[in-house]
Amino acid sequence: MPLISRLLIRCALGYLVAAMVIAAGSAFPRWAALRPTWIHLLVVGWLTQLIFGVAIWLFPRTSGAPWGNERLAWLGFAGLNLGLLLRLVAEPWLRMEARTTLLVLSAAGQTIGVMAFVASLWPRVRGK
Amino acid sequence: MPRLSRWFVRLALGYLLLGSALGGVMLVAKAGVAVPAPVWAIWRVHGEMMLFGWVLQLAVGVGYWILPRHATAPVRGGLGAPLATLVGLNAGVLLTAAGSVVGMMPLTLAGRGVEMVAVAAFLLHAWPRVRRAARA
Repeated sequence: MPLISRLLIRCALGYLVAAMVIAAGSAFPRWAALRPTWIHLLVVGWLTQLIFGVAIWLFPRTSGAPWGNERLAWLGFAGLNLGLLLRLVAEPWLRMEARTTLLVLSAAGQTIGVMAFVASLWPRVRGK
Repeated sequence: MPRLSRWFVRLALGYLLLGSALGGVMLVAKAGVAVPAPVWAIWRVHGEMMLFGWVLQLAVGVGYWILPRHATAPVRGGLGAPLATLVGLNAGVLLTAAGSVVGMMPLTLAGRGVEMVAVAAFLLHAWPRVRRAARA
């Protein structure tokens, strides 16, 4: 299993634990602002990241670069995780004060991350 | 990877791109920037694309590829049911999303109905393939 897959899967497992903890915490009215955050930690941090980690490892390999374009995959890893971590900070904060720049950066990070992952995986969706 | 799985996976990746772009628009709107469409409409389409278009469709496509194969041809079973899943799932996502945007409940329900038929077709296809090893 390549390094990028191991990191993606370990981070995914970390997000799973974090999402479950935050989900439990958000049941309290005081922490209700964290509800959208834990859903995205689960769907983006856990599910999507796990899917890409396993797909990079298992999808049909390309000659020369068996894991596809690894630079794009690393860009995806950085964008997605920085975006998610920024969201974790910025979204609850937004409810208290106007901290809009962090949220815009979070949106940009996650979108760039997804675009890079898709570009990296696309050529490997093939017959053999 | 069989041709049908490639279609499932490529469509799933397409929905991931669209769905996450819409998610980005929602975050930007939350930050106070004006966006060209009402956020509630974007939110429903975003959820539909990410859950059914991306996660479910990818799981179905990879499942069709890697589940144990039959010992005799066609090794992945007939094409009818998985093809119905591909068409139904994508038609369902588009119908449900369109129904949410224009506020037409019958369209949304029709989309959900088509998605349910698509999932049932995949269950019929996959059930006999979920076993220990290929039968001789």
